[in-house]
Order: sequence, then C-alpha cells, then structure tokens
Amino acid sequence: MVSVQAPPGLAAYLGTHLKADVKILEYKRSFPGASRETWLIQAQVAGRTEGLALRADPARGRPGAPLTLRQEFEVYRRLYGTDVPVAEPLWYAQDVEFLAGRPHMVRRMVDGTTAIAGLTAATAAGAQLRKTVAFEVVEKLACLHKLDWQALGFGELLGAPQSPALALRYELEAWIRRWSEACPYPDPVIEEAICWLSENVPTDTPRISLLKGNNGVGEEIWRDGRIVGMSDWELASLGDGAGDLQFSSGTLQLTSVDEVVAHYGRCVGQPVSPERLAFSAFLVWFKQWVCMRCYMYRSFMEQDDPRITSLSFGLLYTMEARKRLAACIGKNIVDAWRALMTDERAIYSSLEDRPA
Amino acid sequence: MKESVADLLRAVAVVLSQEVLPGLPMRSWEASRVRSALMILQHCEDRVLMEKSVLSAAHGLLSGFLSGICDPQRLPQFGPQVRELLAEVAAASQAAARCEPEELETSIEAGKALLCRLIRAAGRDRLQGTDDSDFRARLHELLREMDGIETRLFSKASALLPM
Repeated sequence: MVSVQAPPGLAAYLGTHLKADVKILEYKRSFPGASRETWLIQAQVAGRTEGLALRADPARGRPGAPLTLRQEFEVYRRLYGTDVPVAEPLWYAQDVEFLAGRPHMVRRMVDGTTAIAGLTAATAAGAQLRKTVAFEVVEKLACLHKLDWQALGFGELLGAPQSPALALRYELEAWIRRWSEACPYPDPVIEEAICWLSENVPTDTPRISLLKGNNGVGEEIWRDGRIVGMSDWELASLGDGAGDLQFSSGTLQLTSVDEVVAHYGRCVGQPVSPERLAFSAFLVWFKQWVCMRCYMYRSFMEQDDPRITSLSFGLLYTMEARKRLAACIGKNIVDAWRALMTDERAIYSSLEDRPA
Repeated sequence: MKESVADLLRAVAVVLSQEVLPGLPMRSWEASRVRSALMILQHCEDRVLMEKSVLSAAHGLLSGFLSGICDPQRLPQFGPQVRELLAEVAAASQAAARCEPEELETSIEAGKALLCRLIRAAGRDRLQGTDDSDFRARLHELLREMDGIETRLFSKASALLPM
C-alpha cells in the first residue's frame, strides 16, 4: 500500500460524524479489491488513535459487482454483533459535498492483515498451516450459513428464494438476468452454458443461507490464525452455501478438497452433495464472467471508466472462466467439475510467489 | 531490417516489466496497473501476429456450421421459432460465403448473434420435449473448436495476473 494525500475535508467530515476533533495520521488505499475503493485511515480522534475504513464507489465508471454500496452497508449493519465477525459499520452517505457526492460508507478498522505469512511454504509446517487456514475459512462460512437471516431482515434487503430446493435456480436466474440486461455482445458459449446450467440445477439444498460471495484468503482480515473480520460484501446474496465454498479464492485447494468440504459439512450440519458442489463451481465462474464483462469491461468500453484494471479483468482475466465453461458444456456436470479441479489455479499462491 | 508492430509492442513491454515494475511494491495499485498494461500489450501483440488467421479460421468454422444446420435431413423436429430462424441462417450463410477479408469480424459477430438466438429458441423447444441431441453435440463441438481458436489471442495475456 502506498500512502497518498487524503481527500480535501476528510478530517472535518469525519469529525462531524464522530462528534470529535479528528487529525489524519495516515491515509492509504487497500490492495487488492477492484470492485470498489477502500481507503484505510489512521486518525487521532479526540486524542486517541483509531483505525477507520472508508469504502466508496469509484469516481468514474461503475462498481464491479451488483449490490449497491448502501446494500453492502446494510449487510454490515445487520451482521455486526452476531457471531459472524465483521467490522463495526459507522455510517453510509451519498450526495453530500464530501467525495463529490460519491456513495461511501465508513466502518471501524479491524486489527489484522489479509495476508498469511508462510502459507505457501513447502514444509510440513506450511502444510499444517494451509489445513488450519482452510478449516478456519469453512468454519466461518458455516457460521455465516447457519445464521438466522430472516430474523435479521436479509430477505427484505437481498431477496430470497421461495424454498431451499429453489435456491440454486433462483441464484442462477438472477445472474442470467444480469447478463441479459448488460452483456456487451452476444456470446454463444455463454448462451449454451446458460442452457446447460439450467438443465443441471440441483434441488437438494438443505437450507437457504446468507452467502458472502468472494471470500477466503486475501479477502478476510486475519489475526493469530483466525478470521477476525469478513470484509467486502458486494456479492452477498441468499442461496446455497456451496456457492461460498466455490468462491473461496483457492481455499479448497489449500489442502485436500474432500477433507475441507467434509469439515464444512460437519460444521454446518449437512454434507454437501457432489452435484451442489459441481454446479456451484460453474455458477461461480458464470458470476465472475458476468461481473467482469457486464460491469468492468462494459464500464471501460463506455469510456466512462479510466481504470486499466477494468479492461484487464473484463477483457482478459475473465477468459479463464469462459474457457472452463466452454470445455464443459454438455458433459456430466460432476465429472466435468472433477476434471477441472485437477488443474485449478490457486490465486493465493500466485499472489505470494509471483516475481515483482 | 524494419521494425514490426509486434517489435514495438514488445519493446514497451520489456521496459515496463524490467525497468518499471521491479521498482514498485508488488502488492500495490501502481504495480497492478503496470501488470494490467503488460497483459494488454501481450494481447495486442498476439492480435497483431495472429488475428487474421484466427478470424479466418473462426469464420470458416462458424459459417460451415450455420450452412450445415440448414440441411432438413439433419434437423430434429424443431418448433416454428427455430424454423423461422433457419431462414435467416440460410441467408446469413450465403452472405458469409461472399464475405471480404476486412468484413470477417463483422460477419463472425453477426453469425454469433444469430447462433445465440438459435440456442435460446432450441432450448425452449427442448423443454417441450424436442430431442435435439445430435444438433447439440455438433453445437458443442463447434463451440469448443471456436473457443480453442479464439483463445489463441487471449491465452498468453490471460495467464498473467493483474493483481
């Protein structure tokens, strides 16, 4: 992270909301995180040093995910105080003078880091750490998936499927709608993949769960080997928990996939069928494709978005998801998924091992 | 000896990867932007070197498929929507056969748009019980072959990571 100059009026703006004198000590943008901008702030608030996070829609172009920032803030607000670890949300605002009216939210910073030292070490200790980390991720996911989302008002916030049996179809249809509304140009591979997925929707989802979307190593805040903050809820939805297992940034591949999935099953109280797991993998790749094509690529091509990462993600990085769909359409979905798992690219290791 | 466009793009990529990137913190937006630029330069280089052959091969495959599916002997009992589309497909196939090299990309995009409509219409018929397994097997073969060809323009660039 590189420190940059804070936006004008930040100290005064924070001071108004916190009802205290505020002095900015440090201000830097967090990395990674391409869907929205998150700025980490160290400030002196009434003489005490505090960490705050400012999350905002991009200055130009559209966010890389479907949920509005207001919805994301509401996810934090509803989760704070439950067993799911999230930072304390402070306020949401838009159309105010600060940040030229951009939608933004402020939350407290959670003490910890997104990186885990030693995770890719080719040693016995490294292997043990990978297993511990993978188990911790699925334990927190299980905690999230068992949450009473109805009591917390998530149905009104995000929309819910009518029954557990319809959970995966509901989610697939939501993403097909997003694709139909904003696809930049026709793509027969995606069109046929949609048909194939529609014909292979499992109905054995045991319960409707609150899903985080993109999660796992690199996404959450870790301290002393535990997740202490689950961050960035721009892909939250109500659906089948298997979706989060498949959206966990390579967590399943940290150690034996079967072991991790079985541990999740024990934590959540029901095993995950291969059909749910396989379907969710393809659904996640379809979601990634839609996010990168419909939000990032389109945003850049409409010449509203100067971020080169919108183009590199939207045009190029996303091709991996399409390639997987192209390779598998028409096949038995479980067999196709198992074949792909053998050459799965783990994002966490790429991050740590890539030369500068 | 005269420089090619690929030479020029590669020269820029070498400077960015060997002189600019090492001076930036790896986990920073600045480095990420340079990595994104390198991905795009790689894609440009591949387009310069291979786009003509890729377009020509993709066009051949797509127009061959579209003209082939108009053969009534090989078609299942599709409903009226698909039948109507097939008239458009026949006309598009004839136009594609007369396509000039500079029109290849436009012709491919038009063919893909038509194919998407066909896939949706055939999917609706399938829900009504039409057995189109032979048509679909040929479609999947086409899509995989097309993907294999088009991927040549993307594979090197998409193997790099922007983050």
